[in-house]
Amino acid sequence: MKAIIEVSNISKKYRIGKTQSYHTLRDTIVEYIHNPFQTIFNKKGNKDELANDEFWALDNVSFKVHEGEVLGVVGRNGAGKSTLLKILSQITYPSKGSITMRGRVASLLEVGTGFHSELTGRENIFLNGSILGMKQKEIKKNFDAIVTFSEVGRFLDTPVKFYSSGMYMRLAFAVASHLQSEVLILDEVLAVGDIQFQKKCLGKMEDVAKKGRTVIFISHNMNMVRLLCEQTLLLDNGKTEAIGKTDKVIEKYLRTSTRVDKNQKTDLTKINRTYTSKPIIQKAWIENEKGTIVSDVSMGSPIKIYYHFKSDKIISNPGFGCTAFNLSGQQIFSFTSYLINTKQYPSIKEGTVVFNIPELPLLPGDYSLSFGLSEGKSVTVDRVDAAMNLIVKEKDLFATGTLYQNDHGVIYLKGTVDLV
Amino acid sequence: MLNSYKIIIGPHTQEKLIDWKELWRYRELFYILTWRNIKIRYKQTFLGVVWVLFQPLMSTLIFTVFFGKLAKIPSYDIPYSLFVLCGLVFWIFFSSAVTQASTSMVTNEGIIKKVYFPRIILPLSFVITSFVDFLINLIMLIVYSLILGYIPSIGIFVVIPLGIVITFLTASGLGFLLSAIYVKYRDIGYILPFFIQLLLFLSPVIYPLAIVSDTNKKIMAINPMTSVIESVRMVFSRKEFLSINIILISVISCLTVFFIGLWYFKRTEKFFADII
Repeated sequence: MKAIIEVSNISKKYRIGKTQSYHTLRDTIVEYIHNPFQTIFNKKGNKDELANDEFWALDNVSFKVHEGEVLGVVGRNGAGKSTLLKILSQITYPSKGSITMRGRVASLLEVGTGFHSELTGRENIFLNGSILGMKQKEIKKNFDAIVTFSEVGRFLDTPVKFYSSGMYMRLAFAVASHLQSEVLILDEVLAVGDIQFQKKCLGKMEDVAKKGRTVIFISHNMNMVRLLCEQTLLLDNGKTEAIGKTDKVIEKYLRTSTRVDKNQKTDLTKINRTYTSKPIIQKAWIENEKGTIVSDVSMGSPIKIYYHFKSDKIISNPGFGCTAFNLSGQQIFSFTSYLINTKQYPSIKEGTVVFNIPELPLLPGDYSLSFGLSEGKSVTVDRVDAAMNLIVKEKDLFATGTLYQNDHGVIYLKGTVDLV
Repeated sequence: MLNSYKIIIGPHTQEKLIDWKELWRYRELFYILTWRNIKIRYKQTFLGVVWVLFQPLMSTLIFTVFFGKLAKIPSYDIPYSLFVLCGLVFWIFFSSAVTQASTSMVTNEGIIKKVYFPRIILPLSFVITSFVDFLINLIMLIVYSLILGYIPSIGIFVVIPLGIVITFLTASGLGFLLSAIYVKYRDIGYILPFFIQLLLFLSPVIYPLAIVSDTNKKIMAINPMTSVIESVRMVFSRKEFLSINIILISVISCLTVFFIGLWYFKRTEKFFADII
């Protein structure tokens, strides 16, 4: 059987920074004057070599998807997931390699694309549906289902500019979720709105994926990927890190995303910063009660999280933060100096911070830690997102013989339950 | 279903200048985008569609007072108001089509970055939108001429459709070119209004082509709107004053503009999402 999607050796080159801002003629002229040879050279494009301000967002990625398969794509931020998504949806083109698709492809990178605030809900259903590639006939056929799903029935003839953001999102997702195509490319960030509607969205995605459609599903939510995808592709720095059975790939992802061999200090200097430019926070590690460096800890045990920072300039009135997220991207706690004390730390260039947690109240699972360093409360000196993983292992903490499960929540409480 | 539909995405997928098959597949998007453009234009306005008539009528009034009555510009023996309205109806079609098509990529950035469709649909849908407004103005022009007692010659059935085709192609070509450049260089946003203003005076809208020298006539004919506007006037004044050479120059220039625009657009459209 021929694969419905065949991706062979695609690479995509981007230039750093420059393309983000508006390009005026003056910029081009300035570029030419500054560096005439390089600018002319770059014009050629599609070359194998990189100029020094270029990088491969995708590097030689290949895979196949057969009809009815659901392929998960996972990876850290900046691993190339979005770029792959954009290329598969024909929004941008690969610098090298090619993709063959046999079937109508619809992609959902965003809900509500093309929504116009002046138009009514009804009109926007047709507009948005058409932009996403639905035929008028299909929209008419699914119209009632869309309206029911969106729960905005009463406001159908009101311009969407009067909608609450929740209603707007619901309508947008409702249209998108009724796309009829042989291949569907989905981004998990599409699950929008309040918790309840998010569940509904994820449920709908599950439906779609299980109905025998071919789906490429991009996600940070490992549980969803586990649930929906038999095959998963792991990207790292634009390269295929692993592809195969979901369980194996996710395991590898969780292991490599810490970027350390077990039980060593994690080097954070190579992680891309979203908000700051220079890596100030250098490395981080976790110690258990015995003072040994570990990567997994038991629930309820005392842990110490350390990071070491080094700056060229003196940081006056520094603030230190450590934030944890679960793998669905939900923030679990913020352990930040100015939140828990009013201490004035000395102005300093270099040092090591310890976040001392006498008892870790998290349920078993994988968590991702982010670190922050600020000057005063508001000036961010450095921030490392998804710096390292914290794996919490289960333990029969209360000696009941019944262990906590994932669906019991995020944290456990200490206390008593009694009849009074 | 499988295999009935095959797409290959690669860095050098050389496409045809116009992929008719694909455009046909996306025909509904044409319709719906045009419908959207028309629909939102006069939303939350009190007078609504009357605003379509406002611009040509107001301009006609002002031009008639200043250029017709005061400056006494000759007008081929028809009332100056009718003379200038002939020009304005087509000029407004052209200028609004060019302006809106040129900005279409940037104003619809959100769609371009998130969904694939043949990009060319966007500028074209705006040209079609202007065309719908034009039809309303055209009816007004004919009614006005009948009120004044000037019955257009039978040539109207040739001149008007041809005029529409030439205006449409020229505006599309310029729209393709400018919208593609606009994606990269925001300078277009500043140049465009000035360019359109300048072109108004370089087109024989408020004056007859007859008042310029023969050489200048040929230079002015490079602007296809020159022939369009003048031939429409021929129909209403039932006179012949446009040589075939002038028309030929305009037609060649129109086709050149169209194909250059189309070619440049096609060449650059792959990078729109990356640099917009």
